[in-house]
Amino acid sequence: MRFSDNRHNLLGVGLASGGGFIAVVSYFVLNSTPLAALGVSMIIMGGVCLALGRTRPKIPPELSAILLQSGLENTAALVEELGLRSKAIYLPSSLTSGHPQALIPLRSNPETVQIREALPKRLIANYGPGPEDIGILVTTPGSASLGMLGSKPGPGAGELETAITSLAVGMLDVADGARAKIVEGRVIIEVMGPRLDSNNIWLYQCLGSPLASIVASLACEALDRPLVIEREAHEQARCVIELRVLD
Amino acid sequence: MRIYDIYIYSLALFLTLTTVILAAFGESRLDVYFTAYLIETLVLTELYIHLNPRARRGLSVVSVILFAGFIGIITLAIPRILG
Repeated sequence: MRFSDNRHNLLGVGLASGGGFIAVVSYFVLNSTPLAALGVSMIIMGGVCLALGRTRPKIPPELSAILLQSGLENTAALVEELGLRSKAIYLPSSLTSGHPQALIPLRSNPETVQIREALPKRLIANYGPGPEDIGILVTTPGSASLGMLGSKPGPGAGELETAITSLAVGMLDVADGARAKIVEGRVIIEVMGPRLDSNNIWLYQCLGSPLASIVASLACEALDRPLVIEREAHEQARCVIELRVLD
Repeated sequence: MRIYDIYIYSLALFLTLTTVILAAFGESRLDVYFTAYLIETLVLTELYIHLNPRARRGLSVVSVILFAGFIGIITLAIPRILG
């Protein structure tokens, strides 16, 4: 993205130059301190806009949407072709090859899945001794977004809430806020003002919507325990995601 | 980014209100205006804790420049106070 294509950069340059002109003319020619102060405040605003303009993502949002859609469609095709019907189990990085991933087991009931050691870095993974203890291990939008946080969030509800808010509001700009609570082996997260689409497609029944996937990846990494997305409810201006922690 | 826009609107509102209020009270010293702007910018930047780390680093540079200006004002004021 060029410097001039970024609206924050253009605004910053305009405010800084206009403010400098107003400040100089007001102070030395008009002898008006309030107007000179207004010019100084415009220079400060210009500097802030330029500082924020440098942090905007270089990839246009339209291209990001295309990449997300193509990635999800490929995963959906794979899941549909293999006839997988069970809910995905989100695994922390301690049980995978370094970053959180989702395991979609062949079994329909995720309750019976017990993973005690780290799974190998394979698409098709054996997670147990039995012949049916097989599933596919996929990287989800949540897996990819976790690297944006500087450090692993702590296991408490407050720390989880802060991490989700930082990621969803400050970095990805997909929501207006988030609240989290941990109650008896369940994690309930409320996301205010979600801005990601939650189409009712089969893949989302299995992996959860992209927003639920991001939240689930963050929660399983914070708690260092596998979990499944139990329920996802989209209401007016908020989304409630209920996660169940597996033993 | 929505959070950036809200931050810019909030800062613009605070700076404008400060200018209007100080002008209404007849304040004629530019360094008073500048000091108020510096405090507001620092406080507002600290309140927006969910800005991404790159944005916070950029805003830290702005804060350092403003603080350097404040130190310059203090440096120019000391001889006047002592003299």
